[in-house]
Amino acid sequence: MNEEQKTMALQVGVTVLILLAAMTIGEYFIGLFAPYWWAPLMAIALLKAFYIVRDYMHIGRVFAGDEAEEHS
Amino acid sequence: MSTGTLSIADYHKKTVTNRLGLWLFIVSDAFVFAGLFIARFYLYGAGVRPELSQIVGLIVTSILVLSSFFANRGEVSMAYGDTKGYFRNTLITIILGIAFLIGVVGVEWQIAPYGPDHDALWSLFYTMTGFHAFHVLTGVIFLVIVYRNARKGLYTAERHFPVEAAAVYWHFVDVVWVFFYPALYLIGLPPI
Amino acid sequence: MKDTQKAGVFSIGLVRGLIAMLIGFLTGAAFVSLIRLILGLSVWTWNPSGNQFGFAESAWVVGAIFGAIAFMLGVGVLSDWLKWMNGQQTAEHPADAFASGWKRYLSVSFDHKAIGVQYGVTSIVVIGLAGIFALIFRTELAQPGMQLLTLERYNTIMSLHGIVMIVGILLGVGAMSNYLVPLMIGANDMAFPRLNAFAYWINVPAAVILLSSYFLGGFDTGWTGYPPLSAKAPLGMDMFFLGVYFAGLSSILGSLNVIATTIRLRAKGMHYFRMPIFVWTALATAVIGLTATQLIGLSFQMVLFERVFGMGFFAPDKGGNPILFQHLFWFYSHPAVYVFVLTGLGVISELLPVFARKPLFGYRWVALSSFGIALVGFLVWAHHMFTSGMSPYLRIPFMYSTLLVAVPTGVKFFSWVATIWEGKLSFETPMLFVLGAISIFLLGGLSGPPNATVATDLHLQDTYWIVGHFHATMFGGFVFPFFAAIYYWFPKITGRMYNEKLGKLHFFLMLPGFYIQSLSQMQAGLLGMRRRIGDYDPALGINLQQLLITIAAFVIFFSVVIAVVNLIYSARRGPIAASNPWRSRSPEFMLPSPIPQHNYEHAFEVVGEPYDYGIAGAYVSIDPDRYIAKEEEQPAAGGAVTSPTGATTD
Ligand code: HEM
Ligand SMILES: [Cu+2]
Repeated sequence: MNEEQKTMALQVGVTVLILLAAMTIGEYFIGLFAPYWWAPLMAIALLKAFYIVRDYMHIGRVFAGDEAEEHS
Repeated sequence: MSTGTLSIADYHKKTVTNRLGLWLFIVSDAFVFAGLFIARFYLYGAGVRPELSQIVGLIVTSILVLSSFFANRGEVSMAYGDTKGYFRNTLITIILGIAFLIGVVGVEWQIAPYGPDHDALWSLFYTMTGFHAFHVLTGVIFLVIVYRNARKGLYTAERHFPVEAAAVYWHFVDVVWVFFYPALYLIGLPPI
Repeated sequence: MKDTQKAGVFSIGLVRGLIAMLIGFLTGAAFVSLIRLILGLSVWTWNPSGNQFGFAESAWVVGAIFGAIAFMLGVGVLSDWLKWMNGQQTAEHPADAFASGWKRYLSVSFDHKAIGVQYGVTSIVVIGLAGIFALIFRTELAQPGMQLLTLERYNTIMSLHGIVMIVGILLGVGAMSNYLVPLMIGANDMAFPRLNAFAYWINVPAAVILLSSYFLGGFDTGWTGYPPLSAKAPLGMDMFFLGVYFAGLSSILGSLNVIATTIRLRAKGMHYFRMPIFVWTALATAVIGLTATQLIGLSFQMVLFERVFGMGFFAPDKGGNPILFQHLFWFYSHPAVYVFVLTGLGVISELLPVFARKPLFGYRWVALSSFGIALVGFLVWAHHMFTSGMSPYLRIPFMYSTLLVAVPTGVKFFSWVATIWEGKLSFETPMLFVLGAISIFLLGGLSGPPNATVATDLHLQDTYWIVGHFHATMFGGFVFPFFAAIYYWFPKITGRMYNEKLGKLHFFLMLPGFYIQSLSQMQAGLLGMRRRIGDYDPALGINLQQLLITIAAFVIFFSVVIAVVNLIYSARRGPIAASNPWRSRSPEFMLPSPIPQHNYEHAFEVVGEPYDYGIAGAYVSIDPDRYIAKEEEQPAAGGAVTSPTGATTD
């Protein structure tokens, strides 16, 4: 049970990494070929930040309160 | 920390408070970076960026993203009592963090065509990367301190808030770079 | 509670800190000088026309930073954290180095009440100092022509008056929120006691660095430090920036603590809309302090970098723009004026029901109005820049957003008036100060909209009218409520009562003093007096006003001296105070005076509404007898024991 949860938690990390990597490469090429597209670049940055803040920084825990379970 | 003698329930209560404190600090700190970010676009708009090596930018960015990934793995390992996994992943995080510092301060700053006093654009570049590098440095120090204390056996699956704090702070530094990377490297073209 | 007997002055934290600061300064300066030596740059210059201060500018700056860090190490606030870094454990509530006596306040204490008193005393000292600066340059301005000062000295002293006052006000706000918030919500301390001590002590090196600017060439920019002037000003400018930076750090960390404490440590049953109203204002203040303060820090660092590294953010010849500084600066400094006043307005709302024996009118509205003011306050900053040369189309939205602030502020006024309405008023000193504050804040508030309206502001900007405006708002929003709070909670802090006659004398000198000062400032401004100028043309016809302002300034200062004498004397010799002299319902007044060391030994529960004066039922489930009886059981050990501010309690 515990092992299962752990694998799942690690799996989330891997998924986020793949997403971040894909978006970074996307950004890089936009920067190379369309440097005036600031709006899409900012949108990608916001999306990246969203994933990091939600899944790596676990922002949800801040609002979980006293009764919440530690592992998430 | 002064928490070894607390009951699990009290430790948990305290952790919730500490976590709130950590996040308030992060919110506050974010305002500094937001200020710099806005200053960069206020002065130069979206048409101009400093003349920087695109490849170095991509490499350091990838390093930081990877380090965040390993920081997360370390924290998750500790949360499930896998201290070995924690040590391994945190060590990788620290090494990647140092690599990032070398990439920015040791490479990018050295090959940059101008110094900070050339014009406001380069002032912005050095200040933004400098503030960020300072935070990376403090993040590395934070990770090292927690790593050392973990070696002393201070943390368990139930009681490891410092591990979480160091990781969250590290991810915050990564988030800042998520915005600084396009602002400095991608948006606009170098002035002719 | 035993007195740890340590001998010698080095047992006093402050002494250790100051010595360490000097060593730290020299280390930092030597370190930079060494690097400069290696780089082949000049290390030491001493010529009257250039750098007259020996070390290079960068050495002074780094020295000051090292000095501040060394101070914190020396005073001992960092020692628990250093132990934690080493994996050691420390006691949850470590005993103070000195359990009692004045030495307790000169060393690190983690008790929020001791820290509150430290903040308060420092605040009065710092405000007194800034007041002396004001007396000096007001004497100069009493007549046209230059009699006492040179123009440069005038600029420095006027600028120092402004910024030192602001630091003093921030300290006063810290005093009130540190002392009162935990007591009011039923907590035994702040959420992070060590951080709390850190946030207090960093003010000491901040003040030292800030004041050192006077001896390092001064600075002539006023408290706002606008570049390009500030990029060229003498070395004192760097010390101004650093001093304010450290004071701002204190504000940020203190705010963090207040927010965490309020969210996490409320007593059972104390949900947000049952907190004493002061806590709401402290919370709104903290939200501003936590976030906006970073931007004044950033803007000051950017000018510092411009000076030390030759960067060009605000230098037009390098593609920079000085208006950017004003945006960053005012993004903090407008919300900061609400930091100055919100807690004061909270004190007004807190005290009025007690002295009117009536519920606070519209509690929920008043509570939310604080957040209304704070949030709208983030959207108005450019009203300080109508004449700065920013894009004219920006003026209109900022005009409207500024006028919008009047709505939540009006809510507070209506609540106060409705609370007074048909109340059974009594006029002890705290109440006098509250009523004085309301009348003055009305004057200050009403003088705001003319500044916010673009058409009129283009004429008013940078005149003495503005000086009158913000003195009125700050006297009404901070100075009078602060004194009201001091008199009101004095018995809780010291266990003794202040002298009512002297308190009233203080009030009846300060109130007319203030009105003469502020109205004359406004009039002089309308007649053409510029602000921040050491001399003026007698042809303006404002000689009388200038003389009146100076006389009023002396009267105000004299009244504060009376207050300080009263407080010190009463803390030692005043009559023993009852535990609830004002018949308040607030939980801190259910405890004996002075408040026991760890506040609430028995956790309490909220069972009613905070301001139901004149209605049956209590607010909190504290039985005062439980504490009083206990006090009598164990008389203080060893007869006379000195307590806060040196009072003898036995
Ligand atoms: C809450 C209490 C208030 C405080 C503590 C306060 C404080 C100040 C201060 C310190 C300044 C001068 C800044 C400087 O240039 O050095 C100022 C200017 C100004 N105030 Fe207030 N103020 C308050 C209320 C208001 C209100 C209610 C309004 C308008 C509705 C207002 C509108 C303005 C404007 C527009 C200016 C800029 C004037 C100019 O420089 O031309 N203020 N205030
Ligand atoms: Cu303003």
